[in-house]
Amino acid sequence: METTDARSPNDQPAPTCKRCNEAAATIKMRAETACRPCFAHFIAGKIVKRMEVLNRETKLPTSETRTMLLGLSFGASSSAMVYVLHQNSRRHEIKKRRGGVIEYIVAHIDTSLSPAPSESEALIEKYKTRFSPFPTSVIPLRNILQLQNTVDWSGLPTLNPDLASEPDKQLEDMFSRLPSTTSRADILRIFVRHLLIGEAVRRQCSTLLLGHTTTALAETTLSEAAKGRGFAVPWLVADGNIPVSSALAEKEEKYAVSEAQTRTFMPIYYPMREVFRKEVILYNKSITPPLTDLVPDDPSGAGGKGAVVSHKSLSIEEVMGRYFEEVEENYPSIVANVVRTTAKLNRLGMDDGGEGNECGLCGLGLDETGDERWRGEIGDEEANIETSRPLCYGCERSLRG
Amino acid sequence: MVRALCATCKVERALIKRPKNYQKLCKVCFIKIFEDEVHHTITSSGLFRRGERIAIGASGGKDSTVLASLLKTLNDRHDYGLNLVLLSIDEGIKGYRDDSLDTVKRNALQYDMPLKIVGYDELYGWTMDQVVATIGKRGNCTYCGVFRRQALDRGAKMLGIQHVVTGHNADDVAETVMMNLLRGDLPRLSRGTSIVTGSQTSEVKRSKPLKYAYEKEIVLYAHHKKLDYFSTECLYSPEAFRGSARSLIKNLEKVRPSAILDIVRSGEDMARLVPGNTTDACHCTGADGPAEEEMTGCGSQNGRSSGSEMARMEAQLVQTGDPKNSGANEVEVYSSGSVVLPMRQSKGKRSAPKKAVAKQTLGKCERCGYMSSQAICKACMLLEDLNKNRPHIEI
Repeated sequence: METTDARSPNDQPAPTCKRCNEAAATIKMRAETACRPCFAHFIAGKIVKRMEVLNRETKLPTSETRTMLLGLSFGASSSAMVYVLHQNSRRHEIKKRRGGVIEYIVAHIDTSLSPAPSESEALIEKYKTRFSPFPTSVIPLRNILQLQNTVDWSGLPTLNPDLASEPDKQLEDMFSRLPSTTSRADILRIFVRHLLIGEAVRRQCSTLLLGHTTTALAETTLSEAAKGRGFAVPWLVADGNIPVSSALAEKEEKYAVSEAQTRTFMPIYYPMREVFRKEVILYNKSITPPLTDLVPDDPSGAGGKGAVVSHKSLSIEEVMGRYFEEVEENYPSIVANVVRTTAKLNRLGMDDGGEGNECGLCGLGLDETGDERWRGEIGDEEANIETSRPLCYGCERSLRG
Repeated sequence: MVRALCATCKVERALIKRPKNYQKLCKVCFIKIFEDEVHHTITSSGLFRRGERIAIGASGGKDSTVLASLLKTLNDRHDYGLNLVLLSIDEGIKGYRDDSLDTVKRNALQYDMPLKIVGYDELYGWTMDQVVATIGKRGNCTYCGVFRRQALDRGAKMLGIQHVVTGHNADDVAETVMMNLLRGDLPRLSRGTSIVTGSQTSEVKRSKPLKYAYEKEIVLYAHHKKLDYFSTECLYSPEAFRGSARSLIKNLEKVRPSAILDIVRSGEDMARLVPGNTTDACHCTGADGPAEEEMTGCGSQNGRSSGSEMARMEAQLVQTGDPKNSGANEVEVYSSGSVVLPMRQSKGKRSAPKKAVAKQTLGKCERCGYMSSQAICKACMLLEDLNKNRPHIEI
């Protein structure tokens, strides 16, 4: 089940790849060994297959041009997603297939909070060159300040009005006053997600594609559960429509992807969901030219190696990243099974009741039944955080510590 | 160095930093708060009724000793009107059970409660030491868990008691939630967090009054109340999934102490997301198969284990040809570079209503008459296997 390079200097000559019967099988790929090109085809096939599922499920008129937003974090997985879809769209063009044209837009959220031209700007130029003609842009995190109605700021540490002219510093200051590494990581993740959805709406995209691998989705399942957001896990891990806050949708009048009476939805899909993280890393090295110069070393810190200085300085995501690194190495099918199981859970809390039923921070459904029961069984030991809109249990927890 | 004052009484010096929320308290206030919280759990979930006879599953370990002491205290203080009995299971593990049973015997005197001890040997004809000698250390916790659950229920029945309380704490429940997520076990996820288990139709119900109490606080409580408990762990290591989930939870607790309760909360909420599970998680459901203990773990503390259960499940997942997993059934990719998609894909997550997770229907075991969702209960199945392998000793 290893996906590592099987070649070793002392080994006998590698057997021939069973898939092409030509090249030497040098890569252990799940249950077999294959050559590099066949391994690359295998991984790309996994992604293409999920795109087929997406096309079928979203049932969009094929005559129209559809635009999809690709969220790019500069991590191994989202970069590979951009690469595969770029390759695939070129093939589509050559084949001039029937059906509508799909256009891709790439967006990176720059979380560096520095006004100077950041590393992201330099990197994004490389992406523009390599993945022409995909329109590619960098969105600074400070743009979240403009999404006033999406985020309820009243529960977060107050934005310092003296720093209003320097929004980056203002945000940095706000983050520094959050109570823990976990809550900083959590709020940052929520902001990035809001910005990506906002960008998809703004640019009238039909779908938002995120590059989470199987491993990343399993990590999300367990870390959101550990942060008290179990109720929202299906909304964060399964493919499908996510209700978009009307504040966002109204701004863009033309935006009407799939209108269901009162709510507007944005389909969010994870085309990398059937590929493991270690496979993606190997894949990025297997293609020509490799993607290595486009992927800085471990930008997110998830799955981070290295010595643990202090457990307290880690975020829950980082703890989970380390944990799954090990599980993926030894028991990859268990990782995949976590994701498959989670996908079976029902999505509750957002399909009825229309507006006002979502959390003021993460925007996901509130769980009134659960809240009431919890208050009953645990008792009101902590004063409620005063916010203008109600928060979900997980977001309240993040504001506390 | 001047110590901070207790956050509650503001008179005494704070000696204890609460593991749950880092609140600084004096000894008296900590004990009071801990007791009040369990009292709240008991009253808010309507766990007991007046005059009820309750069997406390007592192992002599910290959890059940604290539970026994606490229930006695609260029963007297708040006049619950409960009739409390200690019920112990003798698994037959030398060097572990003998000593801990002595502890339970002392507890019975200290708390002035009657004690009933039921042995695996008299119930099943096997002690755990004999089981381990036959099957090895691998997976023996399954046997122990299945046997114990029945043993407690049978012991309770012998005493004519319909309600058994166990010392499962918040850490145990959180561990179970994570374990069921890792195992992809939706039926167990849908009921593992309930405070009361055992269906209304079953004769003995179970509850966990310490469900929201942190393991570390239970240890502190036992220490400060100078309770007499037995602290040696079970000699046999926990099952791999549980061991893995346990070490994960300890790491999460270090990062954010509330994580344990947050996981319990997530588990309760996710139980309601399991397709087909319409019941509120706080009340027992008819689907609660008795032979399937949702808390198979024993009190052992360390996550050390051989990992064999995880490896076995891994192998099984690969082998069962789950199309998304096994390389053999992958989308075929040919050297031409074209990708041939499978003709029919039925696994898409369409908006169609999700299938209900298979539910068990409650019946009785054909052999022992114990409640079971299968024709033959889990304990009898395990026994059959064991008896097959038992060497025939002729005299």
